[in-house]
Amino acid sequence: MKHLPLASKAIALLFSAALLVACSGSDTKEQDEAAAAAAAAAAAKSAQGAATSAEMARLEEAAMAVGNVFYFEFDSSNLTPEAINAVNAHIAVLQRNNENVRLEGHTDERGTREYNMALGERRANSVRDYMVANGISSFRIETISYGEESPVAYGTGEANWAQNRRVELKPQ
Amino acid sequence: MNTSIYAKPVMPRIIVRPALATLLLHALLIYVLTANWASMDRERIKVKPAPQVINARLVAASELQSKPKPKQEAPKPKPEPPKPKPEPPKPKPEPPKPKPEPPKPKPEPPKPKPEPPKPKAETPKPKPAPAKPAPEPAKPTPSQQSKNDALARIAQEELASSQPQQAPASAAKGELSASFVALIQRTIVNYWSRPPSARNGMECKLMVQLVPTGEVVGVTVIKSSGNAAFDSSAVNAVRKAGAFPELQQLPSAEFEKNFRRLEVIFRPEDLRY
Amino acid sequence: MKQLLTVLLSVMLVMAAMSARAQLTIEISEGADNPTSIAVVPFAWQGSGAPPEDLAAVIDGDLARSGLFAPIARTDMLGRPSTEAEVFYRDWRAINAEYLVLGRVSAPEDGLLRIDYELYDVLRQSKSLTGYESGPTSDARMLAHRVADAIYEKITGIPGAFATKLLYITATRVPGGKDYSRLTMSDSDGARPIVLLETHEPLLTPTWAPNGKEIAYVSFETGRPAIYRQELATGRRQQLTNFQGLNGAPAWSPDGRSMAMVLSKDGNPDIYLMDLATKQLTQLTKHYAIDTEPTWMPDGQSILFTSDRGGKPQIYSYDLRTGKTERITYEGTYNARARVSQDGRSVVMVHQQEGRFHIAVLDLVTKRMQILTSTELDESPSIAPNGSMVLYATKSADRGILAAVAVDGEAKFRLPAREGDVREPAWSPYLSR
Repeated sequence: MKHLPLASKAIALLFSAALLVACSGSDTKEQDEAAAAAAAAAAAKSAQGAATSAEMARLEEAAMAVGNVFYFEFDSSNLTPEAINAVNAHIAVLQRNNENVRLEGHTDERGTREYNMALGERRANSVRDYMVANGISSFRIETISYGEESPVAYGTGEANWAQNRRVELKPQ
Repeated sequence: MNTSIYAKPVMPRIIVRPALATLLLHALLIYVLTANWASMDRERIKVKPAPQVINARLVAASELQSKPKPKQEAPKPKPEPPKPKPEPPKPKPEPPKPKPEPPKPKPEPPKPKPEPPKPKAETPKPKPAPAKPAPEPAKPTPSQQSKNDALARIAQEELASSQPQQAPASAAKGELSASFVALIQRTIVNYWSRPPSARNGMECKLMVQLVPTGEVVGVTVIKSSGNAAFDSSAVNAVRKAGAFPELQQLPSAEFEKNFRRLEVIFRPEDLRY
Repeated sequence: MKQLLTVLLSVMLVMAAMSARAQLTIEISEGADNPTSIAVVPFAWQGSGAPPEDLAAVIDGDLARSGLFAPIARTDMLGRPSTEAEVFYRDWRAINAEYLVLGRVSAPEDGLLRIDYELYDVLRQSKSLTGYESGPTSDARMLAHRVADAIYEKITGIPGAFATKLLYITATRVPGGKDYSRLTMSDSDGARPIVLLETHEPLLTPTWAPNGKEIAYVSFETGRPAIYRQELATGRRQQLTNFQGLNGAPAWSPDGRSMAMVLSKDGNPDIYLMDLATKQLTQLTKHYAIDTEPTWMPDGQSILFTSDRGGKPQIYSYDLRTGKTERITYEGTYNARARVSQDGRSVVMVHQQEGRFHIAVLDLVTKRMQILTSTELDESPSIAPNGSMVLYATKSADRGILAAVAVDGEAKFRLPAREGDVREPAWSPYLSR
């Protein structure tokens, strides 16, 4: 019994490694964009000394423009290309300030409530992990899931559901 | 002590005689009982519409959902005739339906011999004669209740078609009985509401007493299922049926022989479990 | 020899008698299962002052909702007897009543109410049950539910579950204001709702302690999810968890000593067991997938839960003695949030078919799955303690409502619609008096 946690941890690690590989392998587009974003972030970092407040204002404006809500496909916690673009804009800002953020994961109304609670957490974690991979310290990010409990669009149908499958980024 | 010498052989004789008698008696009883069972078996007419209905239920899981829809809003005024449910499947499994009437004369002519001997001494009326016309003129029976009427019609429609199947062993007499058995059975099935505590395989045996008008005059549990609610539901199914007026068409001898007392076994096979 | 002859003769006679006795045997292997008609006559009021509410109507409603009974309308009754002497079976037989219920309500002392009642079998023309219930006047409806329970048990052979309670959540939108959620408890017929908790944050998964005296639920009132337990009588409550990540899906063990729950404090959602006396946690599942929605088998030896470890959410069981996990649903691509009947045989769950979410029941013995509901977004099934009905949440005209369906799929009813979105019903266990 004492060996179990270790073993399972090892297995979990293996699996998550495999999962990561699988994910990045399957989404080459996603990977490319991620790489581009990382490059942009690195460039921004090297130029940090020279960064002016004007530059910061421009980045913040860009982040405002993409919005603070990232949308997902049904039953999925993978970031879509649109979501990656939006998250990148926020990463650029976060790399220059010291603010903490809160990521709120949500789902549509389909499926059971507690399962959706877990799915919402997965979505929030997915955004968090991407941010961390791009240089944002994990302690600056808080995640929470509301599952299907806080929809923005009431009513049934894909038009409403699509708006509810989301992660919202909020200042902490 | 001579007496004792004489007495000894006498004693065993006294013992032996009753012992022999009881042995014989028991053997006879056993024989009689088994023999009787066998003959009862021959008489027992199993009209089992169950399998068809079971299939219909199992397959049509979706039907189960759509069906209750109308009930949903108004559970109170439940219409009595949900009869259509069990009926539809019936005609299908009996493809020889149109045949029974016409083909009968054909296969029967070659067997004129087995039939004549059947009518027993008490009933000089040749069986085949009343047997065939019975089901047909039966349709316009004096209606007692409209529900029963509908039931009767359904059952009688079935009579004709079920005849050739039901009694392959027994001949005309059995067929006639079978047709009325099917009628009684249908009626009781329609009135039987099983409690949720009922389980497949539970068995309750009733003795039902009828009078020639077809009226039920007595219902007794002769073998309990062990579940009082189940037994009650069986008794109430027969009591609700109340009467089988179609039995008036039976020759009185036939009624006396087969229908004055009926054994009805309730043993569900179509429940969830 | 003479003796033997007479014996033989009598045996032959017996034989003849026997063959004359059992002529035909008819086997009945199916039934139409129409609802049993029952007449509940308005109860006579024998106290002074104004009579209490119409308790016979409460009983009438209970029996009708079960789907097993078809109560007879009062306008069809040919008489209004209240004592045995006034019963004329013919009157009831004439309107096709199979059973008849009579009762008298009295007030033996101030604030107390007593119902004396009898159940008559009209077809057999006999009295089949006599009884009484007494209690505070404020609990009059509960007394009536107990009478309905006794009648139900007498006729069906299984105890009634009318004298029970429901928990449910309502979410009310306030356009331009702050939405709020309420945790409400009502009678099993939806009457007498009491709000136990109100907050502007989400509430979910209300659940009963096996003794029916305490409840547990998840509340976001602090801004984060946490599991609380609350005593019904005193309203006293206690926060049980406050971990990073998910704190959800509480499920009280049958012995009341521990609670299964979902925590994601170690990275992803797993099932944990909390000893309620020591607050000590034991992790049961350790899997990178989502493990959630634990529920207990009645014997307390294993827990069913939802996991997407196979790619899609399915129901698994976890054996507490061996630690073994076994998948139990295979039909369909989405099976979640199981609840088990008290006999441990039927598992109800949310089942997706052709994009629609229905309530389905799986028979653990025959492994047969049957879909019980036909609406589109059905969720949160909860089984009555007697196993007869499944209460669930569904949508009607874009509003959350509660509905119930008999475990055999036949009878259905809706609970009276109230304000807001109603969801997550939880049927109480049998309640002690």
